[in-house]
Amino acid sequence: MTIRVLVTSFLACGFAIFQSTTLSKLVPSNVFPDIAMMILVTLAMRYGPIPGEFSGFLVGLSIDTISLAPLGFHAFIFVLIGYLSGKLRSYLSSNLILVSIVAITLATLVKYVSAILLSFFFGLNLGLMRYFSLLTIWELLANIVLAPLIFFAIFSIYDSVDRHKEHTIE
Amino acid sequence: MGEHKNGGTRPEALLIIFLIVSILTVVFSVALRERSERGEWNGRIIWGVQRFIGKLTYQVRDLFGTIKRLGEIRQQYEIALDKLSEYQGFERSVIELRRENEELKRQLGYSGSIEYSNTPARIIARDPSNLFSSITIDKGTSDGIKAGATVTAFQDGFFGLLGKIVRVGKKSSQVRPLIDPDHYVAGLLQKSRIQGLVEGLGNEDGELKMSYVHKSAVELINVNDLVVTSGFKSLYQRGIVIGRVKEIRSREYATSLELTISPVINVTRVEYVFVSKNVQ
Repeated sequence: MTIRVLVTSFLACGFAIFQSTTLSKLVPSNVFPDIAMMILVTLAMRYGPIPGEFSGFLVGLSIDTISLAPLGFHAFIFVLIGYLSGKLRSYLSSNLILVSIVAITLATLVKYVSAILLSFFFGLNLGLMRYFSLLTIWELLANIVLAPLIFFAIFSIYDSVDRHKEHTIE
Repeated sequence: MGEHKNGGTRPEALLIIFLIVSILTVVFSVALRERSERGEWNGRIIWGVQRFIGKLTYQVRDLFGTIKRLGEIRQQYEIALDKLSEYQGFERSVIELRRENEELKRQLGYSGSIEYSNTPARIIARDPSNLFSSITIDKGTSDGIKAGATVTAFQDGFFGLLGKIVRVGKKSSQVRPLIDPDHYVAGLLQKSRIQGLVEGLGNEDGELKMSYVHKSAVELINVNDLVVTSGFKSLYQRGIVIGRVKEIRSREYATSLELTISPVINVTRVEYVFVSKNVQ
């Protein structure tokens, strides 16, 4: 389990860097889907709130180091997302596409609401953060479109790893 | 207290611990930042990976772009040849103007002692979370870059202000762009010489706001007037173009005007920047 959490966290960190370097050059509006957050939600929904919190803290801190945010800003947001996504674990038996869309929509909203609250409490000015403006909606839509794909891809990897482990135990 | 009956950790207890740790980190980080911009930064591994992927992305894109551009370059070459013959005629008058300019400067007692050397750099990354507006460039302390240095860019015929360096690594640095709401510049209307404070609005259009402009100056300001850095009590050199006046707002209850400025440099379209090595 620990290895899976660490590997998924590294994967999410890798995608955070991919977002900042490659995706930012491909998307003309400069607003891109938050793949790192989607991977975190997938992990938390699969393995529960505790791995979600650990992974959220690691991913959040790594984003803080490459962002203008004060250290701990994204860590706070991602720990919260990891915990809340883990609490949605019981809904996974339902339709995966629907669940992924709902989970990612909620996670995106939590991200923006907690960012606003944190910036309010600490007197931070969020650079390109547009409080639920058109570009925020673009990010939400991009996340919703990508969510089922990310969920399917990550869950397939987890399934094959879990199956392989069961075979090894047998 | 924080344990389940079966001995496992409660997620709620862990959540509280992580949130407290995060908040304390934010508090310390904000406090440190208030004392000084973060200056030199040693996030070597993650910045190294970011720099590597950023450069790799450009290389892949450049490879495809080069093939596409070969035809365009041929056409441009033909046009350039035509223009060259045209410009040869101008050369003589330019030499004459330069000599005249030197003479006038000497007469005005112009001081050429302060010289700024610019280091060209390429933007390799932007903020990963859509919440902040940072830009990462591929030059750092090993290239003589220091925190607080002015970052400029050339776009659509203008050499304009882009932002300032806030964190420096060995081979990459982070820039706070002009459009960031935490960015303040002492500005000056080029034509009327009226001063004010320019700050980013962080909105979708990348607009800026110029405040503390005295109300009596309303007659002297026009839409499209150029705003430049004043150099007054600022780390920026004097005369760098910031933007153009887009809107003039005069509120009855306010003692000063509020100008909306369109920056001449569109941060989202810039690829190359210049970092000033002289920090005042």
